[in-house]
Amino acid sequence: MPGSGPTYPLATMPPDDPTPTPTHTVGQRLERLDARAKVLGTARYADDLTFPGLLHLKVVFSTQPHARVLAIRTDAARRAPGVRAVLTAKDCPGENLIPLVLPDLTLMAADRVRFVGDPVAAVVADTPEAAHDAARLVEVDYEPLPAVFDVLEALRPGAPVVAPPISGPAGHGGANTAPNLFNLLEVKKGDLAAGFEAADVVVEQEYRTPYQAHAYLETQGMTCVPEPDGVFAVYGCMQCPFYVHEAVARVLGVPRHRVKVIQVGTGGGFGGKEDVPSIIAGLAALGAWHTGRPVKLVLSRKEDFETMSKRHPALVRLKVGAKEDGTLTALEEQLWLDGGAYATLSPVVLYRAVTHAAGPYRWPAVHVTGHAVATNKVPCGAFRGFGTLQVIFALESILDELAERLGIDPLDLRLKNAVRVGDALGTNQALTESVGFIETLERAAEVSGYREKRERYRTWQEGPKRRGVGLGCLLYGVGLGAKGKFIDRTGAHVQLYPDGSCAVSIGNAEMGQGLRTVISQIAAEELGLEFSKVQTFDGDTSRVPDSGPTVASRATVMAGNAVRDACGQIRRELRAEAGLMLGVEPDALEVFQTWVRVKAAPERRVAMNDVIARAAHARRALTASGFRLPADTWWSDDEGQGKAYEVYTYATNVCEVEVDVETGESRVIALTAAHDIGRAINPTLAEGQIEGGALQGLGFALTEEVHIDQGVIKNPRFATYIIPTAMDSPELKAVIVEHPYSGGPYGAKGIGEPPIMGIAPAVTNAIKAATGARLFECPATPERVTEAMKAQGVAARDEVAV
Amino acid sequence: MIGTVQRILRPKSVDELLSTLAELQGPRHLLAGGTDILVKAKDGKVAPGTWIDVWPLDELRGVTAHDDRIDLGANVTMTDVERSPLLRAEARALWDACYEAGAVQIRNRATLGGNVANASPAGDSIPALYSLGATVHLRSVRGERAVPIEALFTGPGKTVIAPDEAIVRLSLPRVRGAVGAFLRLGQRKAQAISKVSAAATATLGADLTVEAARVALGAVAPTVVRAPEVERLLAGRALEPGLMAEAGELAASGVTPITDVRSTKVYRREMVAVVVRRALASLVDRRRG
Repeated sequence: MPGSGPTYPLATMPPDDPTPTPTHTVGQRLERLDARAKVLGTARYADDLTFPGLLHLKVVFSTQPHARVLAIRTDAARRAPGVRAVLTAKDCPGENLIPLVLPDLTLMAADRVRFVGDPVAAVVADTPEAAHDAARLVEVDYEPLPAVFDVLEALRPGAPVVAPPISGPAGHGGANTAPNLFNLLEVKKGDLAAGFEAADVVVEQEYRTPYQAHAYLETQGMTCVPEPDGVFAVYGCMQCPFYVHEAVARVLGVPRHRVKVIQVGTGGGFGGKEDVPSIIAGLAALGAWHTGRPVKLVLSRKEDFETMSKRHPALVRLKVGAKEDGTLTALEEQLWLDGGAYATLSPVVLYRAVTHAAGPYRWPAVHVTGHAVATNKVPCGAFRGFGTLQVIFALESILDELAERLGIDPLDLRLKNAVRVGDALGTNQALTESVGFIETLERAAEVSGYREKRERYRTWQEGPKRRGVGLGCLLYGVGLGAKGKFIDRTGAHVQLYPDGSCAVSIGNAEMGQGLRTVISQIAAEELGLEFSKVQTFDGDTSRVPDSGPTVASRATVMAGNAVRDACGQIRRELRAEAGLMLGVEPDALEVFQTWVRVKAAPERRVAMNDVIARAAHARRALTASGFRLPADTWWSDDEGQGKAYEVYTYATNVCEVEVDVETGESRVIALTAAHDIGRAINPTLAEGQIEGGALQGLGFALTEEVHIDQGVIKNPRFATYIIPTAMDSPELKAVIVEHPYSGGPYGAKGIGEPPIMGIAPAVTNAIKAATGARLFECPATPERVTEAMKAQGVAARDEVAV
Repeated sequence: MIGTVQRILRPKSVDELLSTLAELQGPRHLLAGGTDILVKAKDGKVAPGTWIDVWPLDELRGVTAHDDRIDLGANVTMTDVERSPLLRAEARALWDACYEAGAVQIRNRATLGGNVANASPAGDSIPALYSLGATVHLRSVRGERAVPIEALFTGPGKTVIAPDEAIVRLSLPRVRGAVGAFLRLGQRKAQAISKVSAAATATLGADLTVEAARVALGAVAPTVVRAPEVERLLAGRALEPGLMAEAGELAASGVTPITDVRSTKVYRREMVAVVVRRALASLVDRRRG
């Protein structure tokens, strides 16, 4: 209807208008929305929340690694002062089960405990002190059963059965068909025998990687509030509000519309708040159900260390072959992940491990066999990297050994075999776009001064100090991939107000990674708003669509696309209104920064604020829901092949280390990490992810170790579980490489997990370069380094002059 | 933590503290900076009882130089030590230990009295105090007694301090021209408990001849220990590289450390040789200025 609307003054481009950029918020280094609250200490976390009549829950955990529960005596606890309820498995009104990949994880152990830390009872009392004291009065009679703590022993015939065969819902990532075997997966490509036949050099080696604790600053915490209308509202820290939603509904035996879950705060997740928050919420909900009052459960640091999920320890047997010129010919791997007492996420962690085992390289022949195994130890689940650190440590270590045998520099070996567009991965997945691996190798080498230092450090020494440079490379399949596709969707709700401000709700969680900021940037870009006009809110399951878990480095891509979908609907209304204002067809218009302008005559434009005010007045629909599915993926268990993930992030880490060869102490001097993330929506936040992940990776590489003896964790505290401090942080150089992905918002891929993944081999490869000693197991503690030097006959070069 | 603090008393003077200790029945715990006891209490390793907060007692603060000795109040913090030019000059091993310990927040709260009373074999100030020949002054309503620091400890967390006694001060003999050093290995660069440590304090002649030396080792035995055989080896000989290496090996052969979550027996023993040799080398550097 051009010309039919009221005349409207056209804004003209002011003379001092800055040079237009293609995007005005996306790609900008904007301050994160929660920065001030966190710095000032006003941000709220699970334990900050309080409600009238609040009660406190304390869990009684199993003290046995494996035992039959003969009796749970709760009378004394029930009579203790301030106690309102003492609950056990039989008190679940619904199912005593946490819904995950396989239906084996009980909320509270009923007749058998499988690990030290299995919940057996819960005490609800007026104060945390009363709950604590009463919990000590609960007596459990156990009949100890034979226990198994080693993956290979657990698979031997006649081993104690931790996890009997059980099958899950079809398509949910696997079923354990044999005792203690949560999952068995293979990847198969090409002719393995021919591949090794064609090799001039074959290297075979065994590697081990340890447990890692998430060490999030906020321990697990939930409060469940029974509301007058019969709804149970759950508040707490979590990555996956909809997992918690389903778990609470099933534990209470109520329809899902009688539960709402509001994710708050969340001081770090790293995967540790993917599955286990359902246990915490389930227990709080059970307490609320029985008392009719709000019930809070916040774990102490010690309880959290002892009972919550960890990274899977792994045993990897790896064999690779190459021709004289460095061309890779074959890879064969056997992998065992120690899943602990319950399957939790182990079946799908194994999927990611096996599909990533061959790395970002061209292999004509691949055969990977992976086992996820049950033992009587703390269950292992999701942890940033999700099964990949284990296989990357092995692969990147063996590639350096291969390079040494071939007399080729490790960088050249990788450059020679690196995948590019048109190549196929070890899973035989063809790569069609967004493959920036080679550029990460080149950029990381250039920024770190890799070649020059490699040469210089060959002879460098200062007293007992030696230096070395090492590489660690990786690829990472963004999103849940084929084994998780059944829950892989996402939604968003966008509401534009007449004053030109905007509220965005998404179903994915802010846990410190900066998601709300990135989502606000995308919405601001899409709707032509200033960044400060957009607020992205914490998720509430009653108001946003089930968006799946906030894991797998998927939120920017998935939630970003859902927000774009919603914003696109609103933008159509705004363009229509602007068309009236400018007297042109809506199709002739585009949103440019905070304006709507005529494509063919950009000087003809109206301010978005004015368009919004008029559109609101005209009662246009300025609210929309967005919904997106990922690009399709598939996997064939029989063939051991598939399109495992829709797209991959690629990275190269260069670590520069100084080793004191007398004490075995390694100091990381500098770490350069180049990541192809498609497009950085906010480069500062992307760099923050890279730096934080690198530091967490250094902990895995050098100091972090969970000591378990007969299923008992011996160091469940920060004084003895050694994470890096600021003093341990090297110079971190984050390099962003951008090979855009057509399916990602503005070309973005995921960045949450890749930063941690390739650090450990970069460190141990550097230690090898410095000392001549190869670490086959991390962390590379001084004890292990000195032992490796002795075992491998590497003397501390030159006695030290004092 | 819950349950271990039955009540908290805050005496206004040392006299009041001592009379309180004399009258109290049952378990009592002195709270100074709290850097050790609060961690233990959280782990449920402190018997429920009465806590007595001595942190406010200014009488127990202060570094005082006398002609023959330096007195350190039990409440002197590691930060106080770090900021004392006198201690840096005359009690360098202690200064090193306090400078290296924990992190700023810990050092601001950790007291020497607390570090000693906690009696950890890995307590950083203790080997330094051994090497300096420190005396621990214990007081009760019954009077005051002086205990050589080496006679104070009977095991990990165990001392000869009676239930009615409190550490009031430490004194260090002033030895002209003494040089000292403390070295430790931890699991990371800061906020780490030592897995092995060594302190040495010695007077060296112009030709680096050892006139007198005390060497102490941390985290390798149930208590901090002296290394008398090393001291005998060094006596009257010039500190040259071969002797220092020999001293290190001798120290290592004399200890029987354990394996725990922080380190291994083998590593600890080997590292005793390294830290002792390096501590001695540091004495030479410092003697030469």
